[in-house]
Amino acid sequence: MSEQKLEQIRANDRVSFSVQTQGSGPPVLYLHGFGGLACVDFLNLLAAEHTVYAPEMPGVGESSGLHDLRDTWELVLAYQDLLDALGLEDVVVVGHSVGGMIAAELAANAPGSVRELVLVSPMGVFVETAPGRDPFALLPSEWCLLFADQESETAQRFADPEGTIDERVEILVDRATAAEAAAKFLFPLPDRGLARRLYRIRARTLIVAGELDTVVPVENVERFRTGISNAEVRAVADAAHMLPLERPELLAETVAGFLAGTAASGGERMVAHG
Amino acid sequence: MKFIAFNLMPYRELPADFEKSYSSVWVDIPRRLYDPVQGAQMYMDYLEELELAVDLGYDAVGVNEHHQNAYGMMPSPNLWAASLARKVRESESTSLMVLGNSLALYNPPVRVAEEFAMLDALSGGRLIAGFPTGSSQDVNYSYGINPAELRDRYHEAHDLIIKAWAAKDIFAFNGTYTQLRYVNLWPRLIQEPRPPVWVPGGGSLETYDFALTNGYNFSYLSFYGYKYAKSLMDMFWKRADELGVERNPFQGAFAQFVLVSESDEQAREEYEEHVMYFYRKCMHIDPHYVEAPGYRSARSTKNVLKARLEGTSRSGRDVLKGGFGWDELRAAGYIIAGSPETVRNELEAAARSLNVANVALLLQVGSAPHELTCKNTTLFAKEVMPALRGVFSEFDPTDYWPAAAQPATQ
Repeated sequence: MSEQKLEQIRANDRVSFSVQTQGSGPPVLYLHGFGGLACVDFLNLLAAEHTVYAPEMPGVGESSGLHDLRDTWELVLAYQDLLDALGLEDVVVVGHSVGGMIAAELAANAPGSVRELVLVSPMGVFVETAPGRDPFALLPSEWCLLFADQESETAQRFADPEGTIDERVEILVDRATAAEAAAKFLFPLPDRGLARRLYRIRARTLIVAGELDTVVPVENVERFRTGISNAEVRAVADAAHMLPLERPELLAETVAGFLAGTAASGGERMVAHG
Repeated sequence: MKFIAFNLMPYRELPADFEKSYSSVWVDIPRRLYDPVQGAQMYMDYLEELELAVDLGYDAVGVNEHHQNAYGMMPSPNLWAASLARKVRESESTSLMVLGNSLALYNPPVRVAEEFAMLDALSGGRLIAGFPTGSSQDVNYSYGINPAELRDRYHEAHDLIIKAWAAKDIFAFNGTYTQLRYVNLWPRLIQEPRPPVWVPGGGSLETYDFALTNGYNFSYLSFYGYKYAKSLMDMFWKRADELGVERNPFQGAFAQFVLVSESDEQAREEYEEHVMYFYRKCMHIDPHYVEAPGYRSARSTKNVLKARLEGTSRSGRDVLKGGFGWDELRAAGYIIAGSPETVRNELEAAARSLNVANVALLLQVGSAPHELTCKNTTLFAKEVMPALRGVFSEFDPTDYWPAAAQPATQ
């Protein structure tokens, strides 16, 4: 396990990010989704070959400023300001879920600042005929439904954390505030116009999607693939929305393969798209 | 005391297997369960029931706002209030209470200021303006308001409305959610600079402070009755003490099912079936839509979670999950039911225990037919109301009730 450094970085007058840094090598920016930075195994594996910068989203953990952000535009600018503060240019960005949406927005907004893009179960587009499951109407006890194997220890602990009452309350409140942060940019539908901006993305892009993901149905993944000029899709059987938590090894291998330019390796199977 | 005749306007013909075969009375209840012909008849019945209350001298008739909801078929409270306004104006001392408009749902919010000004005119200056945040089911899931922005939108709308009512000249408003270069309300209120404002709320400290510092009434409107309301109203009054605000019972209100008949036994005979319809079917609420993320502040979420995990608090809904019947609902104070004497005694004790002088009376319950609701409304007005009028008469209702509706004797 690589050593972690936790820093508070002020991006601008409104937003201050808590950024977890680990590993060494070329930089990767990881933008979390549901579950925040609980995907410890995935981050450790990614950090074996890279310096991983993992900011928490405004409103999540120690990152502040959610209620001062008016819209997605200001959210994207806050991340752009963070990249400037970290001195990162032309960086690899990996984003999961709502983090996938932010990653794609960053790459569309400033195409020169994102070298390569990995979107894991990305939110941010909505297809009326395939609405999928409403993630904001899930009860905390149902968060295991975001996993393919709902009986697994990981899924069960995610839905029903262990510990004293105070510890559990803290985890559940953190989870609720994280859901609020995501809701600010995804409620009632995860569509702030990203599909209209995808054409601007120049970065080589990999989209990783769980075949059993009910929150991001395959139709949404297809919308991302066709909207981005240089995108390929890796569909993962037996996985749902929580790839960084449910399949950390496979995801890390897939990302590493993609970044090494050997995208065909690592994944379980490649889905052919016409 | 002051008595407000409320009517939730439930759909009375939900199928017998409703709570077993369908997931919710709200948000995603199937449209096919609504029969337009029967629904229209129910609207007529409910309008007549409220008109009867005006004739019988209730202090106010009250309407509220719900969406995609089979226990509250009132998506537009202002339409309903407009239907009642002329009758209210012609009455001796009845007020028109809209409790209220969920502010974040009106775009731009000056719509609320305008329509309330019209209602104030139509009712002869007898409007009471209610400013609820609205339930998550209504505002988030049915109307799509972002839960992370809801409170902000509410407060911005409130500030705009209050300013628009009081303004002497046209002004510009540059808000986060509303931008208007020319705010200029036509018509003006009869009750300038504002009508009495009532704020329905639950147990949040933010709402207590909002009501107390602005001189608004705080209404705890639940279907769980006065005993359940006790701890919340106690906290409200404690907060009033801390802020140096007088404990004026007219600054509070609570909702209560009240069911009167000739005797306690007859009350049970007449109302039990309809009470059960309400608590079994109308309270068949899908937990998925109770609270969108951010609907509650992090501080409130923490308090609620902790109390739940420690088992120190049960919501009104939790209580209903267990077996309950007429006796349990009466004992828990969810309903006050019985002979006029029983109801007089219990309602006075309830009001005194809460230190609250305004009661939002739920006189129609569940599937109760028109005739029964009219009987209840009449018996209450004739046999209960007169005896309780004098309760809390040492306090001044002026700040919370329209001047035009005060009886000459007061």
